[in-house]
Order: sequence, then C-alpha cells, then structure tokens
Amino acid sequence: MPIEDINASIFENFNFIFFAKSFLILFAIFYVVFAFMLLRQVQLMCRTLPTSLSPLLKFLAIIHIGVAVAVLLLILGFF
Amino acid sequence: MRIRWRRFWLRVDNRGLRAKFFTLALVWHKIRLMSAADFIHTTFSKNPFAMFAPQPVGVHFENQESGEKIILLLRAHIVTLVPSVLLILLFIFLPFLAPSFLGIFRLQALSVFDPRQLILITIFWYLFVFGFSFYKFIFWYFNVYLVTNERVIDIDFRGILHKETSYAKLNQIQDISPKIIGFFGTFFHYGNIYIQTAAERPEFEFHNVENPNMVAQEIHEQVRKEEAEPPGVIA
Repeated sequence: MPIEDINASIFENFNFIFFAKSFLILFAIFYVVFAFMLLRQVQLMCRTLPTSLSPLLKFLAIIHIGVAVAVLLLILGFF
Repeated sequence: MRIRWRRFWLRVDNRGLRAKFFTLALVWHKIRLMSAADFIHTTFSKNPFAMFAPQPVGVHFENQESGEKIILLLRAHIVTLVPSVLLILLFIFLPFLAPSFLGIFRLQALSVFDPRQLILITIFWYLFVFGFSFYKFIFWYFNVYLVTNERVIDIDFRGILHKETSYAKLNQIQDISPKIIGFFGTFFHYGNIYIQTAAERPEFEFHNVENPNMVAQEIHEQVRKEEAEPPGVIA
C-alpha cells in the first residue's frame, strides 16, 4: 500500500468530534475537581480571615461547583 | 474654564446636592490636613474591598487575642490586578474573535460542530473564565497584611491549597524600610515595606501596598506604644 493511501485512510477514519468530546469531558472532570478545591480554599480563607463578604464568596464557590457539574453532565449527555 | 464651571454650578439647583458637594470638599480638605496617624486612628473602614483599610469594621482573624485590635488591613494595590483584568477581558472576547482569527489561516475548524455543540463549548468556556476570575479575585482578596496593636501579620495564600501565616510581635521589630520602585509604583503611590524582625521569620515583606510611608510610620508608632507598655499587657 502506498504511504499516501495510508495517510488518507487515517484522516478518513479520524473522528474529530469524538476527539473533541473526549478532550472536553476530561477537561470538564478536571474542572469539577478544581471547583471543589476552590471551595475548600475559600472555606479555609474565610476561616482565617472572616469578613462581611465571606458568606457571599462561599455561596459563589458552591454555585460554581453546581454549574461545573451541570456542564459536565450536559457535555456527557448532549455533545 | 471658569465660565463653564459656573454654568455647571448654576445647573446644580438642588440644595441637598450642593450641600453634599461642600461636605465632600470639606472632608477631602480635612483629610489632606490630617497627619497620617490621625487619619488611621479616626477612620473606620467599612469597605470590604479596600486595599488600605484603617480599623476595618467586621473583620477579625484566626488566633486574634482578646483586646487585640486591627489598626490596618492592607492588600496589594488594585493596579497590580490590571494584567489579570486584561487577560480576563481577552478571554471574554475570545469566542467572538476566534472565527475571524481562524479565517485568516483559512481554517474551518468550527464548521465541524453543530450549533448545539458550539453552545455547549461556549458555556464551558465562560464557566472557565468565571472560575479563573474568581480564583484571581479570592487570591487578591485574602492575601492580606495586618497591623494590630500587638503584632504584624502576613497571611499568604500561594497557589491552591497553600496557606502560610507569619506573625511578628511589635517589640520584635527592629527595622522598617518602605520602598517605592518603578513607574507604576511612583505614579500610583504604592510599594513594598521590608520589616526586619527578631522573630522566627527574620524579614517580613508587604508587597505592593498603598501608601507605604504612611504604613511604616504607623508601624513605628505602634512599636513605640508597645515599648511603653508593661510586658504582657494588651492595649
């Protein structure tokens, strides 16, 4: 088989959408982990230096996790 | 110029508004005449975002002793956030710029996705931008330097899940040197303060704080007060 044909068949079989979806799911999983770490960090920071803004920051961090999980599920289900 | 200002002033008919103008001007004048120590000791900052907060209201910290008062709460100057803000703005506008940018190289990468997939990618992108902005903000907000009537405290959060708090008692402070370096530092009046101590950590550095000379002066005054107190007394 000539090398040009092998090249062509690789690109025909290469599913770009599948690649994009796998990458996005992996990234979204890492992002959810990051969101949990961010919440932990905010809790730690608020314990060290409680201010009037602390409850709002904690609330935002929790909402952030919720949205991150929702986006991961949306990517798994609808992408 | 004078005529324009007079016209503007005449347009402000509202007496209440005029009174507010006068009060603001008086307060500004008073602040200018005050010494640094007077300003810090008579102001109670209620602004939760302040980068220079004298006697902040509603703020306390872990391991605060009873009778210990926060005299100054300092954060990095807001100008140091400009690179992050510019990066965030770039991230916000990137989805609008991406098609034309890819078009320059005749790439049709986005055409392989259907509209639903593109919407999902965009939502995920903006979630990432929010996460990045939030991360930058909390690191600016919680990286603080405190001057209390007993000690100086440096609360550092370096990266995710890395917290470092250093304390130095006022009577352990040996030398304080404020430094304003560079164009932005001189223009916006912020800089670093280097504090030599006899504590476990020999040098404290307050980075990019507003009005470093005033802060150094205040620390000096607190040190003087602390030296005049009998040992073990918190006042």
